[in-house]
Order: sequence, then structure tokens, then C-alpha cells
Amino acid sequence: MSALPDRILRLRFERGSLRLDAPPGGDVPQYFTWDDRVAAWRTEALNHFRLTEDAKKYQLTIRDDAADFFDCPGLRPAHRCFVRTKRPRWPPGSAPAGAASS
Amino acid sequence: MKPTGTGKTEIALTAIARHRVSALIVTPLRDLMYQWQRRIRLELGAEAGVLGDARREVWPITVTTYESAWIHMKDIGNRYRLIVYDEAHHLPGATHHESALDSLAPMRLGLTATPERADGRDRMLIELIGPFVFEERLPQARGRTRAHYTIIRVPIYLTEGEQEEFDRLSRAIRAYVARRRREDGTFNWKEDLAKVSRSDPEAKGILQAYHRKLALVHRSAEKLRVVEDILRLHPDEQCVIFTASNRMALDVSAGFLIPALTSYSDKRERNAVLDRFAHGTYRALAACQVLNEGWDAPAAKVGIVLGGERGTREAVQRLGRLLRRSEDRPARLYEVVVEETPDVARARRRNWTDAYQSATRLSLDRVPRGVYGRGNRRRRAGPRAPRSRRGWHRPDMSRSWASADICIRLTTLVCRSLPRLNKAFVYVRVSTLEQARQGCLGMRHWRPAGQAAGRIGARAYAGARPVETAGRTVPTAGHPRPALPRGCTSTCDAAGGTQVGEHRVPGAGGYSRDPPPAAAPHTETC
Repeated sequence: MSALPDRILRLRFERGSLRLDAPPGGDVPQYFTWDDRVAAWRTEALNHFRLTEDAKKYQLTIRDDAADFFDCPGLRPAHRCFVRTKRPRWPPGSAPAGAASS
Repeated sequence: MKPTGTGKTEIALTAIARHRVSALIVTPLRDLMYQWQRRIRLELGAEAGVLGDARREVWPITVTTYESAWIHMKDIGNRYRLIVYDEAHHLPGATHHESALDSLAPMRLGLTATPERADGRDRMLIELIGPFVFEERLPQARGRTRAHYTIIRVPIYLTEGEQEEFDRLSRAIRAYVARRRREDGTFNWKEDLAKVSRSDPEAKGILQAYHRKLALVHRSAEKLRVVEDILRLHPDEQCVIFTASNRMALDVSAGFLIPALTSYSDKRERNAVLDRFAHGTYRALAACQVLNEGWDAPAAKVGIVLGGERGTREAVQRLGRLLRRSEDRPARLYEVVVEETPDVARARRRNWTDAYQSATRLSLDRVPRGVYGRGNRRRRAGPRAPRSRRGWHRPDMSRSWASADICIRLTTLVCRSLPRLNKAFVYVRVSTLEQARQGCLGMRHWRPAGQAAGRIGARAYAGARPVETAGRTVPTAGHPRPALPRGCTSTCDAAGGTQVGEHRVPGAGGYSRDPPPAAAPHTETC
């Protein structure tokens, strides 16, 4: 906290909730509640996206340390999703339906 | 919201692939977790971690269950951009919803075919995941991504012994409740009885009687015979049998030598059974409530519901197991309903869903009393069809022959069942059967010449040869039954052609593998 300039607030993810290190009595969105134990504002992690939208409205400058998303692994191209995999037939060894009808 | 079997999984996989994001997939069951893992490996080419089931792999793409998500989300809630809730109607549960609160994923996708919940908490979904973005009703998906399907209701009756016990228990319960109501006007059968039963031995006995009544209906002996008939009707199809209780699943399993999945089956057994079913080693599978949701078996097209919960969600999900489209084969769901018991009310509730309303529904009302149980013969059905059967086609009264082949085969089934009756004959509406046959060939409105005005009924003796009418051969009765394929044996065959506990002449038509006797066919036109 001390490394940051005073007006930049730090947002952290702590055990399923968001912790905003802002002074008490400050102007924060109403879904934040003051937590005396840690002397910071807390809210449910669900509100993270909402906060990024509301930050401008409440003129908060936030350093977001909460989101720590994984990078996506290498995937096949998206269109490959629709290539059907061949499924086993029952009973085994029987002719496919198309062959039987023709 | 999308109906069952219409590609919800693929939507999620495409979302992951298109946005290139880390994803957590939350499923209701461990089996589904591994099913998702396989699909991701196949279709995205990425290895997914498994969180839960004694594994803790927090990888960029991870599959987990609602329970594990609830436990671990406090630690991993900030690692995933996208969370996919499979069968999202599980999320608003008492504790499960906390996992959605603990995660900061900006992208959330909930997939379900049955968003409604009996407790009304489905409104939470909008808050936890987001608003509905896509809604498709079952009739719209029909035939496109989902197999055509028919629901066939097989009404059965309790056997005489069972009916006697059922009535006795009902009387005892009614008398007790009436007496308690006289003493205390506000006596509530559901809540108060459970409370009182802890201290009062009589109330405990009544509660036990109630459970015994339920067990009688769930494990009615006739249900096993219906299963046997249906397995023979579809000798080359894979079949899933849904039961209401573990006990009944084990009964079916023991009776037909097919594997059963209950809530007690451990992971290895369950995976082995499901794998072998998917590869076609097993012909049929009995399951209690384990396979209700999400399980993927496109090859299985025949389902038998021997009993279930009162709610509609389970019914729709069970139907959904059969609707995975594969090679345009139609799906059939047989509903075995014990008449004159609470089973009827349960079946009626299932009718409320649009999945049932939009289906071709057949009711085998013409199964004569006695083919499947004798029932309580003191009661007489009124002239009007009971409420449970309104809206159902009767197989020989219906004008539209959308699935006429079923009518033929079921009528044949009835005829084959006749040796079990002492009655000598059954009326078969031949002209209707003719129409049915034409319906199979795509000529729906064909009528034999000279029969346009009225219907001609023919009386065929059980075990008779095909009836010759209007120059056409109509299969009615007496055909040798198709042999059960490998992987499925029945108690009937094991007993050398005789049904256990029943007087039946081996080879007298019906269920033995011998050809039917050359009985003189007796047909008569009325």
C-alpha cells in the first residue's frame, strides 16, 4: 500500500471476496461493506466486473491485483469443434444405417 | 436454455475456443466431469485438469463438480475468466450458489434444459450468472439436432396379492389419519406424522406402511414383465431402464442379467459399466437416479421409465438421455404406470412439460386387464377417460399414424401376451392395423377399398396365424418372438420356457422360442 500513491487504491482477492484498501467513509459503491477486522472495504468476488464499470462513476483509481487469470493453453482452431467424432455403433460389427438403406 | 441433447456442450467449447480464455467447467456429477474432460481433449486438443474426486489439478482449463467448486472457489476464484455451469439449475442450491459469489469471472455461461426449480430459486440464476441469452423450446429443435421421439404409456395393474396388501395398507393409513384429524383438526399428514413417529410406535408403523406402499408400486412384479416384453420388442436396440429405487434397479439387474448402476456403485464400476455400454458390449442398463442428467449415449434410443419422482425436471432429463441424435433413429420412451395408485398422479404431472406435450404420445389403454396384473377389479372405470389419459392417443383409436409401426408392434405385443390370459380371444381392429401398416410406408390416408365408411373388426384367436383380410396379410398374433440377443437373458428363458410361478404351456405361442403351434386360425368378420 505504501508503495502506491495515495489516490491509487489496491484491489485484492482474498478467500472468495474482494478487498479494497480505501479509507473508511470514502465514496465507494454501495455493495462494499466496511470490514473492521482488516480495516478495508469488502465485497463478494461476483461484483468484480461491476466494480470495473462503477470505478469511473465513483472516480476511483484502482490497481487491480485481484484478477490473476490463467493464460489460455494452445487450442485447435475453433472450427474443429464441429467436426463430428465417429461414435461406436451397437451392436458392434453391424452395418451403418446408411449402408443398410441403400 | 436449450433442450436436452441439442449441443450445449459444443456451445461451451466453441466459446472457449473463440475467446481463448481460461475456463472452469462446473458439472453436477463426477461422471460428467470426466465426460467433459474427454470432450475437451477430443475437440479442443487441450488437456483439462480435474478438481475433485480426490484429484487437485488446477489447470488453465479445469473441470470440477458443484461440491468441489464450493470448497475450492475461495482459492481459485480469481484464476478463470470463463466459468461454465453445466446443468445450471443445480447452482441456486442452498450452498452451491456461494461458489458463484466467490468467483470473479467476468464471463459466465449457464447451460440447462430445465431451468425451473420447484423451490423457486431459479430467479437467482440471473443474478449469479446473468440474463437468459438464448432460449429454445423442445418442439423447435425437433428433428434438427435432436432425435424424433415417442412416449408410450404402458398401464399396468398390481397383481392380486400386491393389490390386496396395497388396499390393506391404504385402509390402515386412511383410518389412522382420519382418527388423528378428528382429534386434532390441523393434523398434517406430511409433517406431523414424521414428527410424531419418533415417539409414537403406532405412527411409526403407519409411516412404515406408507413406505411399504411406495415400495409396492415401485417394485411391482408386473413391471419386470413389461421390461421383458419391451426388451423383446427392440432386440437390436440398446435400452436404458430408469427406476425409482435402488432396490428395483437391482431387481431388474438380477432378472435380466444386465448391469445396474445405483448410488452405491463406486467410481471404477460406474466408469467400466458406462464405457462398455457406450461400446456396445452391454445391451441394456438399469439405473436408479445416477444417469438422470447430462450422460451422453447417442446409441441408446429406447428408454423404460419404471418409476420416478413427482417433479417434471427428472422426466425431461431422462427423456433427454435418449434424444441425442444419431443416424436419424427415432427414440422411444416407455412409461410404465401402475394404475389405481399414486403412480398415475406422478405420470400426470410429467405431462405438463412441453417435452411431453409436443411428443407423439401413445397410451396402451387396450392392454386388457390381466395381461399386466389384475388390479382392483371392484372399481369400474367411468365412461370418460380418466384425467391422466386425456391427450394421449389410444393405439387403435388414433387417426394420425405418426408412428404407426409402434401401434402394430404393440398390438402384436398384446396379442403375444394373450397366452397369459385365460381369455381365448381379443378384438383387433384390422382396418386400423392396415392403415397403420400403410402409415409406416408413408401412405397416411390410404384406406382399403370398401372400408372407407366403417371399420371392420376381426376376431383372432390368440396364437393364430396372420389374418387374411382384403387380400393383405396382417400380423396379429402367433409370430415367434424374436430371440433375445446376447448380453441379455431373461428369467423366462432361464426357466426353460415357463414363467416362474405361472401355468404356461411351453411352446404355446407367447414367450418360448419355439415356433407357434399350428392352431387352426379362426377369423370372423363382424
